[in-house]
Amino acid sequence: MLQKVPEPSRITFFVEADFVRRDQLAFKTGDGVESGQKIQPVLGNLAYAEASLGGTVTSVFSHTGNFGKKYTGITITVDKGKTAAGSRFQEAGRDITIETAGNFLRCIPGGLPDGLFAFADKIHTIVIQGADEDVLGVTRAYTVKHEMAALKQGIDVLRKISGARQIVLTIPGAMASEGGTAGVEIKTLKPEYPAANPRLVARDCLGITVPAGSACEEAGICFISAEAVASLGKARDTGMVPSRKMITVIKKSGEKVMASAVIGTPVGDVLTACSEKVNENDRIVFGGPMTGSAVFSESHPVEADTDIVIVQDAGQIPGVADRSCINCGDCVRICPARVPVNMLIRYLGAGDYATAADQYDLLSCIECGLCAFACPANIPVFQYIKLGKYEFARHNAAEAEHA
Amino acid sequence: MHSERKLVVSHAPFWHDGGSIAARHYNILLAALIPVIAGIVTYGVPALGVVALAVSTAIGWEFLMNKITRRPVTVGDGNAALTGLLLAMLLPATMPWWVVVTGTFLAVVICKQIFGGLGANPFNPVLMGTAMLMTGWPMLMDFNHMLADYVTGFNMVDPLWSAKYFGPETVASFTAGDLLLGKQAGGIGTAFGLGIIIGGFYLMIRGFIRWEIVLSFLVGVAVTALAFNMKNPDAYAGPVFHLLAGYTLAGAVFFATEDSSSPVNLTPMLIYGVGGGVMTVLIRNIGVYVDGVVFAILVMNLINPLIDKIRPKAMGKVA
Ligand code: SF4
Ligand code: SF4
Repeated sequence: MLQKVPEPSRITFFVEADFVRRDQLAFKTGDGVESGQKIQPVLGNLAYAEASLGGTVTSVFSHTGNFGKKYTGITITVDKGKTAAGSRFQEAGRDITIETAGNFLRCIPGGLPDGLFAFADKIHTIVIQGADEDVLGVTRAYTVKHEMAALKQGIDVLRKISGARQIVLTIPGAMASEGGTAGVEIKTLKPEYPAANPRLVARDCLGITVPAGSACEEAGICFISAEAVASLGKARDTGMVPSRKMITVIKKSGEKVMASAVIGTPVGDVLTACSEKVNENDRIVFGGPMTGSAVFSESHPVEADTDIVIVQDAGQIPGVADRSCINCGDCVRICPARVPVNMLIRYLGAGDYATAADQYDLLSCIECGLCAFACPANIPVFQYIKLGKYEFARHNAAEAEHA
Repeated sequence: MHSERKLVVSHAPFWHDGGSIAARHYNILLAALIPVIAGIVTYGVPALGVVALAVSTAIGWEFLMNKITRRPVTVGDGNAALTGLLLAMLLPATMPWWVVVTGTFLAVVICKQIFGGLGANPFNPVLMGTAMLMTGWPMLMDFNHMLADYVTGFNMVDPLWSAKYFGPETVASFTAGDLLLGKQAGGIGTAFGLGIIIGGFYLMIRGFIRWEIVLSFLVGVAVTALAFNMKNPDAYAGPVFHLLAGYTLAGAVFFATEDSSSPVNLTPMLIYGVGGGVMTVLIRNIGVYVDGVVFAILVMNLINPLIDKIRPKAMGKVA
């Protein structure tokens, strides 16, 4: 069943760009925005969002995401009258190039990965992911099942704009017949988590092991969600940037609803449309149960890459404990990347990120979350790992700057 | 506008397999109770007294240490109780109370808490404590001496002692069945081999202990015993005897597998297990101690950090 979430009265975008002073902003409260307009909120920073609806800017604010990542948030009160204007994408013509895609289509539903543009000349293989990476999600599989025409068009666009020699579609094993019509090479995935993890797909389906610490694109492989590819197809077909995102909504009861919402819609509106009630101390998770992230409020918007929204009842939330590792090794045996988590966690706990990376394979982690899932001591292992990677990268960047 | 309800925010994963340290320890405790109860049936009230005293004082020491070091109280995780029970397993039923209390003090305070508590101990606390008792009061750890007054219906002589000093034919009267059913003089919870095997299978299947260690330890014992036996059958008992007598089975299931002091990677687990098994028989056959399990595993604990470095290359690791 597809639940169409009505157009919201207010939309919000987080753009990955940081501002220090208000005079660096390109938008201020009261400015008008047209539907399809490119919103590049910080002057001199190319990061942008694409207004899915028109209206009036009601607030521009600074937002801090996980691990201190800085965003500029912009909230628009929707004004139905302002939704007609054409976008500059339309003017750029239907013949999509890598430049027009980079300029206008990065925030299409599903989202185009930065690596597609940053490593454009290196990419030899594009993997279209028809299977969700995290458990419970069926968003990408939905596209393969129901939007094959758009997907094919999108594949055509990708062929033209990228130099990739090989285009592959990965699908869950059970869907072999649905994928067959796409006209590209099909790889079926094992039905077990985390088979759809990009690095495992690269290794198991393409026979390429991406070196730890470098992006898949650096190794020439670019992963794009099936939904994004279908969106590309629709963009070429209609000359408009599609604005509705498909989301697997998982209710407290475990029931799954496929919802379609305009990008920027507050998640609260999505849940209301799915008749799910959120109470005090419940948890809303964007992304799957293994790798997603919890959001602070029901105002948090649906973003281009929001594939799964889960609501957990306060009573279902497992706790974490501040205990030390008992060296049971459960994490080590479950880790698909063969990371010595039991040792790693000691160095991460002590803040020694350099040793963690050099000797205990911090950078080999493919971020599947299984170690923390299995840890009987309830140590937030995965959080330590992500923080460790972030701090390690930050430290290295700082060193490079001073060198 | 959405009402600003407070949501719980935490980090992924948002699911957990439900395992806990407490569940782990209580399950091991449960498995250890099978042979311990058999021991209580054999030796009666004194055995029950030793078990009760060991468990309660182990919990007491841990609680005291938690308070003194101003750390959260950890007795709820079951590790202290387990430590007490495992120590009682190894002791003769007639052990004087003050030795029991000293033993749990050594195990919990000296060999675990001082190193930083659960997971930080480099050696198995129970074996470490037992080793101290064995060296400090050897007579009190001598089963022939301690259990001499018992009339049990079977030969009340420590089979390992007999085999070591008087040759294997002196223990020919102990059949494998006798040994399995606990008809041997020994620790409260180490004689009833069948019970330990049942508990061991349960723990291995549920994943609370690592089967690789258990099996490789037993293989190490069996192969070494066989080699000695083939060389000189008159002087050295065969593998079945060594597997079923003394602390072997208990060592394999409950002691070699202690989380903190044993390896987690496959090859190291095998090396560690086999090494412990080989060492056990070496000590029994050519060393000074009647039973080698305690020291053999402690020696393997010592080299554990070194061997556990042998591990598969992580994915994508360059060089
Ligand atoms: S998240 Fe944990 S289990 Fe998964 S790859 Fe990283 S270290 Fe291994
Ligand atoms: S699962 Fe947890 S307690 Fe066990 S070794 Fe890994 S980090 Fe330590």
